[in-house]
Amino acid sequence: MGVGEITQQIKLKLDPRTKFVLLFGVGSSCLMLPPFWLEIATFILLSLLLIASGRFRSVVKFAVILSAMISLDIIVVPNISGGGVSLFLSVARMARLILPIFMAAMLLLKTTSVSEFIISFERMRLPVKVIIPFSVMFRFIPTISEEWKSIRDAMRFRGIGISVKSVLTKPMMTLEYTMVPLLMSTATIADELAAASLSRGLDADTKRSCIGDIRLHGSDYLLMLFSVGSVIYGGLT
Amino acid sequence: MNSKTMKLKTKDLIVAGAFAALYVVVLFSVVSVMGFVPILYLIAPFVNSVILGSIYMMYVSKVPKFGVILILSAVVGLLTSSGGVWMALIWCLAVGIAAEFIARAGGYCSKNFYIASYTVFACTSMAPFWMLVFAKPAFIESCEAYYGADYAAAIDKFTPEWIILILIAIALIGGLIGGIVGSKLLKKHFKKAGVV
Repeated sequence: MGVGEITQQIKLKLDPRTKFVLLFGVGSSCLMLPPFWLEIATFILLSLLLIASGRFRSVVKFAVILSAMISLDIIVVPNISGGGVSLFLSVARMARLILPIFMAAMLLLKTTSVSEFIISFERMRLPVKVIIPFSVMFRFIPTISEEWKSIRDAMRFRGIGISVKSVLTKPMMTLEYTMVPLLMSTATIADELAAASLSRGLDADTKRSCIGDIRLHGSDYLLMLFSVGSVIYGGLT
Repeated sequence: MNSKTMKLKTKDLIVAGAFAALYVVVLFSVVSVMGFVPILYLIAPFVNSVILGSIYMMYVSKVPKFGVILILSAVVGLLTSSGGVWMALIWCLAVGIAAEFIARAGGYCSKNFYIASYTVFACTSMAPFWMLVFAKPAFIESCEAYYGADYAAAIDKFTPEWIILILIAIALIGGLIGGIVGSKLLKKHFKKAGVV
């Protein structure tokens, strides 16, 4: 029995609203440059949450990246000096700042279905013109990165992969070669998604029901408290 | 497209969401690539405006109805302001309303009015930079603590107060280029294929 199966059994159900608060909280506090201990605490908390939603392998990846960047900071930085250092520092540290945001975004995007989004937005009493575009958008962001990967593969296959060189020498051509397939597939998938959701009654006038249990539990309140607390802490210091 | 009604239907909202996702993903990937070098970060509004032009043109011609531009500006505003720059949301919404009315003046079918509308909308790409006006000392200080004095000095050197006007200007120019390129791409690839 692998780790994946064990984590499947202790799956934690968080309310989408909590995930939003968490994303905004982590985002704001990270961009306000938190102290080291808060950074680590945020990382550990998000790792636990991701593991609890069955994302053990991505957590391992994130942990490896984080420890590599921290050790760069500790080992390499004191031993070099000069003009390149600031650039080097900014790359390593910028990526470290973005990492928790990335994890919170992953928690929100990959573990929430469209209907869960819609239900929780409805509980927030938002108008339908806001609910649908936003729910579709959050659902669509992972789809675009998948599409992008296949488009890039197809381009490489034909020998027109994008690189720094192609961006600098033929910017307009590169723009055309990447944008046109992206736009084309977005348009097609959007039409298909619209057909699928309409045939499942997205525009019905009756109140929607949901099979999942979308409610705020104790753990939700604790996580919201953590997010708000880290933002306030960041604002005060 | 088969109906002449200007009311947003559920299908339009879904398409709007999909294109908003594409817009946001491209926006953030460009910013995260360019953000590492101070001077490149400052011309990010220009590059973004040029690249995002084709997405915008495709989006408005796919859903030519009142309200969609506003939805896009709300999405962009909410995401750019998540770093605590509340000014960015207000700015994006104001720009979005202006762009919406320009597109409306063209009756949601004029190519030139769409290009004008995007030129205005492109100003959303410099929304995060309002931080440089409202919270510059704190920003520079935190840069110094985190990225080292060199980076902070570079940021400080390139960002006097009037930089915001230059940023708006380059966003507008980028928007014009992006809009024209976008409408050309649309004509070349999508009108013929019948996607729009």
